[in-house]
Amino acid sequence: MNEEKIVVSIGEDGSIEAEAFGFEGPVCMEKLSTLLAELGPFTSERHKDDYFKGKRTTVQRQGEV
Amino acid sequence: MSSIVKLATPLLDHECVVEALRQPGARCTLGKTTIERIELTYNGQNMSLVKAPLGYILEYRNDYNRAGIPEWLSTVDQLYRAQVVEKEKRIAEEERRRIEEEKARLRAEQERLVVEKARVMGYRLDKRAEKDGSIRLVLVRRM
Repeated sequence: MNEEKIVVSIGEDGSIEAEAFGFEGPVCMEKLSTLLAELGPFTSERHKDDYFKGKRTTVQRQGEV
Repeated sequence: MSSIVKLATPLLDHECVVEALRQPGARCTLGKTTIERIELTYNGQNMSLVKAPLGYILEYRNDYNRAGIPEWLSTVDQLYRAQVVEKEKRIAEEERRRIEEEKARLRAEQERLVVEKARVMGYRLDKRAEKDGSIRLVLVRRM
């Protein structure tokens, strides 16, 4: 069974960090954006390797066509 | 014949003045006290501290023995300064506490929003941990 996991850390000063696990591609950013929409805009983003997996797949698929 | 002597003092903050006069070192008895006027007795002399823009003015009749009043006022001034320092510390501490409470309220509200939204998105709160004022939420969705 697949599992999506999001870890949200709320700092002592009210800052928020969120990390997504079990996602591939930019869908994780969409999920995080939706989840944290009411808490203000992101001030920084850092993408893990999984974020680019979906993009690579898409590019490869376009190349195959 | 007597007249009223009016002596400017550096005493400005009402609360600190009253607290200073209540100290045993002030060697006086407080009478009726309002922000505008503080009645007191020192060494058998009735005196008043009357509020003025630049500091309380000490008023007393000059038909009493005035010896020692400048020294007494100097002692009161020292006690007053100590009270001002204490008050400033207290205000700073109250402000620090207020900010901490505001931060805690903000964190609780942020947590509530995240967990509520996560539930709507199909996630459940798997773990919650709190350490040094920080909150860690683990949200999980199985497919």
